[in-house]
Parts: sequence; structure tokens; C-alpha cells
Amino acid sequence: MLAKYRPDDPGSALVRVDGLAKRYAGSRGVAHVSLQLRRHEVLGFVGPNGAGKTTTLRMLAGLIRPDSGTGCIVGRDVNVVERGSSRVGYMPQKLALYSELSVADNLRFRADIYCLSDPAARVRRALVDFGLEDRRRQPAGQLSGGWARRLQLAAALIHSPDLVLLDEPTAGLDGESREDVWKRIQALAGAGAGVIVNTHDLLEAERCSRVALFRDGEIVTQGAPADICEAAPLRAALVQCSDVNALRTAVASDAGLLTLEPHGRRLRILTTVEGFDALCSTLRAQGAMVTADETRLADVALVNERTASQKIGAVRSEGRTA
Amino acid sequence: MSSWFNLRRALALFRVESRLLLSDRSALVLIFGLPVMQIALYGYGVSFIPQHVPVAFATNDAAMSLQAPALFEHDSVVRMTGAIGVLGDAERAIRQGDALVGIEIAKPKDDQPRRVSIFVDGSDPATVGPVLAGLNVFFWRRAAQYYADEQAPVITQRWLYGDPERPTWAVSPGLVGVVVMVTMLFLGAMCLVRERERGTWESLLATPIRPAEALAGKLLPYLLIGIVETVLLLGFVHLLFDVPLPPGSLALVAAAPLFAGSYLLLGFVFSALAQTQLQAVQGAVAVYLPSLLLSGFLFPFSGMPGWAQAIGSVLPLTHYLRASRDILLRGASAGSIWSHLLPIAAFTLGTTVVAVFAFRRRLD
Repeated sequence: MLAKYRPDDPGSALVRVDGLAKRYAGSRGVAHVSLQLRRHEVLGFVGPNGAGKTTTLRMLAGLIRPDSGTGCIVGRDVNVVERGSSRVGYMPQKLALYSELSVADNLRFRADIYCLSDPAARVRRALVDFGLEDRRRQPAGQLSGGWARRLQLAAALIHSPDLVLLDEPTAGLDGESREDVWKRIQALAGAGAGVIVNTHDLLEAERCSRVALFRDGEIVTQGAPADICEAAPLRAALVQCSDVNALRTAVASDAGLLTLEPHGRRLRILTTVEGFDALCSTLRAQGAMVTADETRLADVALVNERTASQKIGAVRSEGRTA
Repeated sequence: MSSWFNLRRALALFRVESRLLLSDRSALVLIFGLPVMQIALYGYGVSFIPQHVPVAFATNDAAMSLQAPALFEHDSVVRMTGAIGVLGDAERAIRQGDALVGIEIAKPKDDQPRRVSIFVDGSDPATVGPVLAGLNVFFWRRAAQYYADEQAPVITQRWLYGDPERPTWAVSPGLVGVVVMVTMLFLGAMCLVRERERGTWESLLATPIRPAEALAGKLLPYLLIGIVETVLLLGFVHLLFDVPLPPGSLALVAAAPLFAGSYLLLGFVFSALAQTQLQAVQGAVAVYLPSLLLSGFLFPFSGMPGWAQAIGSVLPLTHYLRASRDILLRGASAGSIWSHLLPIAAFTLGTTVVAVFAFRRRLD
């Protein structure tokens, strides 16, 4: 039996689902999705396209009824999907704005949909919070990608939801806009909301308090990014040498090598734990200087995306062309 | 290749467009399935010849009373309504809506020619036209047989409703309903598809909005368009074709939200169920054509076989069309519209239930 959500209890789980599954004709869908989210947490859904991230997010948003599984989303049964919850703020990946309406009117619409008290004040505050005051009368369709995404986020958050679900919130944004979005995500969590973010960007995912790694419709691992990296059977190192081509040839057939890529003026290698020492010895024998590097979430995700048989071939071919 | 037309580019686009079309299987079924269904439907269901049109017969000539039933024997186009009446009964039957054509034959006085009065309810010209033509042929045939050496009777034809001199009146009242139906059906069919394409549908579904709220909010603007359109069209047919606008016309305006709403909701259902614009439009066409052809707008309702009449009886246009003819051409009172509104209301109620269910269908 799953514990009920208690709005006044800061330790109460906003999301607690167990064994969610959704199948589609001709595709795998998702299966065995179990996860929890508490206030102040940012949970990142990470994985390749088609891994089941968006389907899971939509089930949590009440847009898709799971085929099986149980759980509660901010106090509502995950299987009850007749209407969305006012405690949830959902931002789809695709821009979802009324392009003919002004920035302020788009926000006002959302404030009215959520029946907010003093909607005009809520709109004013959202305009200020998201730096949209100067564009308040501009039609949403005339906004640039970054500003439109900012307006969409403002619209999704206007009702101060407890749970925020964001599907690729930084897709198509420049570096500055991405940074702005992530600051807001951190601020939301800091203010007590729970946030789930779908992202392809593994560097961004490292900013989450926890990540869930998706593959083929299932969560293969979840936890704090540092814990996942530490637990992964991988080692990384930075290699400096004078003859890169000779070095590549020397290590190309090494069984422990997973990737070898340029990293500034050096090369970065990713190996299995077992093969790390032997590979380092080979590299040093070639006159290279080897320095241990931190394993990143991107490394884990990369290995996660490959099956064992694909891994060797793909990595070796990548090693030759890097 | 000439500079004004590059065949390769056109062919590239042709290939892509064809593949897109072929990939939309539901639309393909509708594109090819609908015509087959429609040809069968209209081929078997629609006829220019009405059946069993009610004709009232009255005379004060006992000899004629004996001959009268023979008029209607072996003729499926007309049927005699009620018993043979006395002079004045046939006209009364039309005014009461019991008959569409009334024949009154007076007994000749002295050596005066016999007087025959034909009364016509011209509010449904598609139905009464063939009857009048049949009576005409019948008369001349009989005249040739019996009146060769006598004075032929004097026949007067009086249109109690409608006007034989104004052929536009045959379609004008129905046109109001047809135009409103087409507008509402297609506006409804496009409203959700547009929202999906805009991407706002998904985020709207994630909010606490209820199906009834969404239905009301989304459809009300179009409903207002339907009401305004009805008023404008009634004004147009009055100004352009002199179609009478009796006080009862206000009932047609009052009924417009219900009538427009019925087709708007139906369009909304197609919109909610369709994945593409093409599917939504095909769905609208699938309703629009039967409504046009099986409602009695273009072809006499009584000429259709029972199953086609049953389909036609479900369609709101059939009933709004009858209400329009009753009020505009027959001068019926506003209160007479109730009997026509009930079937429309039943249809609207059913469609509302389906529309709410369609809205509750989520993204899966």
C-alpha cells in the first residue's frame, strides 16, 4: 500500500509510483517504472530518444492512463486521468502558446484556467519574475525561441505548483537561456517544489539532485549523479602525448577501452574498471602522460545506451576515428 | 528544363505529398470508402418522385364522390387523406397541415362548366411539384376521354403557401439551415485539430479543466457565430428573394443555438477523434452530404424508402428545414417549432455525451 501524500508534511513524497507500464502498438512503451520524488528534489529523466521519458512524464501529468501500475501524484491516483491536477505544472516539449495572444494574455489565460485569486496580480508577478514586462503586449508568436520558452515556463508555473514536470525545457535554447532555465529550476526546488526534468543534455542532468537513466522503456538506474558515476564500473583518464596517431594504433585493440576522444589538446579515455590499469601501462609505454579523470554521467549514459555486443564494435570504431 | 517550371522539384513534392497521403490510412479509408457508401446511399435512397403525398379531396357532387377513390388507386405518388369532404374541407386540410394538395370539385350549375379548385401547400415544392404535374397529365387524359363534346371544367390552382412565381422560395428557407450546418460542422471539425497542431491541446489537458468547461468555452464563440449567421441569412433571403419574415421567424433565431450546436458538437467529435485535419474534414463531409440529400432539402422526403427516411429523421437539418418552411412559408406560429426542436434536442444531447467522452480521451 502506498503512503498518501500529505501537503503539510515536507517529507511526504510528491510522487510515488510503482510498476507503471504503458504499451503502444508497434513500440515498446514503458514498463516497470517505479520512482519517488520529494519536495526540494530535482529529478532528471535521462536517456536516448524513444527510451520512455516523455511517456513516463505524461503519465505523471495525467495525460496518459497507465496500462498497469499504482501510485500517487501529489495525492491523486496515477490511474485517474480525467483531468489534470492544479498541484502539477506541466510544460510539454513542443511550444504550446496561443501565438495570436499577447504575452500577458497567454499568462492571464493560464491564471483563469487555474481559477487563481487576483489573476491580474499573478500575471504581473509572473511578468516580473520572468523578465517579460517589456514584452507583455507582444504577440507570443513573435517571440524568439528563448523568450517563448521562458513564457511557456512562466505559464506552466503561474499557479505555483507543488510538482513541476518539464519536458526538454532547454531544447533549442542558447547557453545563456539554458542557464536561466536551470537557475529557475533550482529556485523552484529551493522554494519547496519537486521538479522532474526530461533532458538529453547530460551535463545539465548533473545539476539534478537525482537522475533516472532510461533505456528501452525502463529505468535502468536512478540516484544522485555522483553516486551513479561512482557506482558505474567505469574509469576515465586524460592522456597527453606527442604522437596521437601512434597512440591510437597502440590501444585500438585494447579490450578495456570504451571510448577515446579529443579533449582540448589531450585525449580522454573511458575504460572498464578491470582494463584501466593495463591500458594505462600501455599508454605510458608509448610515452604518454596519463592523469585520472572523474567519471561523468555522460560516460554512464553512453555505456547505458549500448548493448554489450554493440559496445565493443562501436567504441573501437570511434577510437580509430577520434 | 525551362526556368519557370522545374519538373524535378515538382515531382519531388508530388512524391512526398503522395507518401504523406498514403501514410494516413484512416483518411484513405474515408476518401475511398465514403464515395462508395454515398453512391449506394443516394442511389437507392434518393428519388425525385415523392411517395404517398397526402391529398385532400372534397366535392358536393355525389357522382364525383363515387369516382374519387379511382383517382388514387394504383398511384403510389398520392394518397387520399381522410374521407371525401364537403367543399371547403380540402382547403382546411391544407391549412391544418393534414394535406399538401387539396382538390375541390363543385357540381356544375345549369350549363356552366364544372369548377375544380386545386389548393397547394407550396412550402415543400420538391414534393408538391410532381403531384401537380401528375394531376395535370391526369386531367388532360380524362378531358380527352370525357369532355370531347362537352365544356371542359374550369380549373383554378391556388397556392396557399409558397409562390409558384418565385422558384427561389423552394430552396431559400432550407438554405438558411444548410449554410449554418456546413459552417458549424467545419468550424467544429477544425477547432480541436488546430489546437493540437498549435501544441496547446496537450498543456490544456494537463490542467484541471473539465470536459464540460472545455466544451462550453471552446464552442461558445462558434455558437455565437451560428446565431449571428442565422439572423444574417434570414435577413438576406428576405431582402434578396422576398421570402416572408413573419413574427414566428424569431423562433428560428431562438432555435439557432440548438440547431447550430448540434452540428458544432458533431464537428467537435470528429475533431477530437481525428489525428489529422484531413480525417476531421472527411468526417464532416460524411455528415454534411447525407444531411443535404436525406433531409428533404433537395429531394422530396416522402420519396425516400423507409430506411433512408429513418436516417433523415435523425438529422437535425431535416427538422430545422421543416420548421423553417412551416414558419417562413406557411406562417406557422413560433410555438409550432417545439415539435421540430425535440428531435434536434435529442440529437444534440446524444452528441454532447459523445463529445464529452471524446474530450476525456487523453493522449493515449
